[in-house]
Amino acid sequence: MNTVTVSGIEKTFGTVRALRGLNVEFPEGPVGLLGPNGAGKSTLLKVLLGLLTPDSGTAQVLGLDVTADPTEVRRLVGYMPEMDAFLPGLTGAEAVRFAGVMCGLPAGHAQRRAHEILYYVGLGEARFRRAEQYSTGMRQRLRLAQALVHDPQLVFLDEPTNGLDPAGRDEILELIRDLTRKHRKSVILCSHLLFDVESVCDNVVVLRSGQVALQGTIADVKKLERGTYRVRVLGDRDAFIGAIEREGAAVVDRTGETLSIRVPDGADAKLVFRAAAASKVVVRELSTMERNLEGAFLRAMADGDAAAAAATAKGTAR
Amino acid sequence: MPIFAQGYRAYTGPVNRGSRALAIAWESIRPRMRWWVWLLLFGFLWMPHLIFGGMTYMVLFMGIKMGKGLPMPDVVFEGMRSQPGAMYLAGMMTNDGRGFWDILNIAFSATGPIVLPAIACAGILAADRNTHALQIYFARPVSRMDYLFGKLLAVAAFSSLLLAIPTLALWAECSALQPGVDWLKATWWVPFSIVGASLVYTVWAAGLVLLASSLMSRPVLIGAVVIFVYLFMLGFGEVLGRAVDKSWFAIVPHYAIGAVTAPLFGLRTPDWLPMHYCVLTAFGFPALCFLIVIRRIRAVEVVT
Repeated sequence: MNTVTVSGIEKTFGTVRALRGLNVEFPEGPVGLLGPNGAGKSTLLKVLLGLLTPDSGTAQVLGLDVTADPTEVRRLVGYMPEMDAFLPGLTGAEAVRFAGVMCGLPAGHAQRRAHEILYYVGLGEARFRRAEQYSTGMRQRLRLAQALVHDPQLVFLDEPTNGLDPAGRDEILELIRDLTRKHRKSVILCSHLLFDVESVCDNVVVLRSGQVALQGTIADVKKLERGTYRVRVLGDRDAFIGAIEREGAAVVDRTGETLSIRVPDGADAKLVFRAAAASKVVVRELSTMERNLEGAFLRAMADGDAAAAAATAKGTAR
Repeated sequence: MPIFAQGYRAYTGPVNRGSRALAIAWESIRPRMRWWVWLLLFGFLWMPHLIFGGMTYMVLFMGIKMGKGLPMPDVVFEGMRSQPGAMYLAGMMTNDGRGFWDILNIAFSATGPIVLPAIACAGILAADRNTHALQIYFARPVSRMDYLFGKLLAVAAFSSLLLAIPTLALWAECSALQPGVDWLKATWWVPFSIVGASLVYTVWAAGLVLLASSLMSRPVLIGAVVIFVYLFMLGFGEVLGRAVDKSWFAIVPHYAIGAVTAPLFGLRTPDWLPMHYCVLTAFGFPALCFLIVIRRIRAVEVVT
């Protein structure tokens, strides 16, 4: 069963089309939501929380239409924002209690629940300290506690590990894993840290320019990562890149000394050597890229760029 | 205690589906009740009421007879009286209770019910925007109207501390000091009128404070603008009312609100004060403020 089903959602802000007829389904369990800035992740979250009305299309969260019953949707989901969100002057316990009351818990129940959930996220000892005095990691946990206080079936986590040191990050990821695996909560993890998504989620959705660029289980997505090589050359690097592109391959990462090159379907490493010969450079290193989510993500982005370039070229030709 | 020591427990308790406005109001009031607010309230702004109360006691103690007292068919605004207001009010306490209209009107014109919320509640909307706290509300089952009504209640509470509450206290004091129950029988309707009239005053003040807080970010600036706008309306109306035409008095907030609340106390508004202009100032102005505030506070500011 899907927790979220989005059908043909269109949302335009002025001249910007944030979501372009988006069709996507989020299955139960932990799902990663990835995409570069401007891909439409935030707009999608706003639509799913019922805060934005789409121009067209429908979205269902836990079987409820978000445009018809946004308040009920927000009652069933938890939301952990990226930025700090607590009223100044409150202790951790008070901040979580207030979040519970806002979700409809009676004050006494919210109080008890706040203490329980603060212990769960590891803030039990610090729950009577003012939230402003918390460290970054403690604030992240506080936000998670606020999202969980009313025991939601589905939790939206927006960049939950932002600004954390490795130990703090591991702890938050462990909490999310515990929630999803042991307590059967569904989570939509919005992050730009691919490792976090890969280590916690079973499924992934990659957005690009308001459309789905890639979707599937992490295992399936990784399988897509084929035909990508790391290449280091000695000689005229720009000439080599030009030759590679003339061969129909794409340079998906040229930021370091080593280039990441993705060859078209059916081609192999011989293409790299042909390009090297044509551009008179020496190949000093050639290896296949490790199959990981990052490669798949880069590939999806590069595919999108190529499609956009093709569309632009087509438009210009006309 | 280490993480997970307590474990995650499902919540099985009841869930309230009603409005969250009261909870929002209380959480907005609680952190604003600082020591200086109490000092301002009891040390300075309640002082006139304590003096009136003392005078009432003295008047009654000296054995002045109960009765209709001074005839009061029309409302008389404080600036137009020949006799000192405090003495006049002390006398009014002994008659049929219509003098409580005066208490409210003078309390509002003394600027306290504007100054206190302007200072204490300047950041009531601005701080939520500045600290991303809107997410606490709008990412949860809280509607925009719930949120705004909660904030309105919070500002109105501060205003009421100087209007309804001390005036009701005076009525209770007067009732307690009377030798019999005649006065109580004659004035049983007064508390309702006080509450009704105070609502108009407090909603007016709250509208202005919320408008400024929704448009600006810095609390100091918000407080200053609220007080300036109030004083400007007061001064502008007074000057034009005296120099050009008396109908300009309708711009003065306490004239306009005083006029529309006079019927609650069985009083008539003077002919020279056009009621339709007073209605515009008393109800139209705060309605316009709330419309702008509703437009300004948008749920989509969540998840920026």
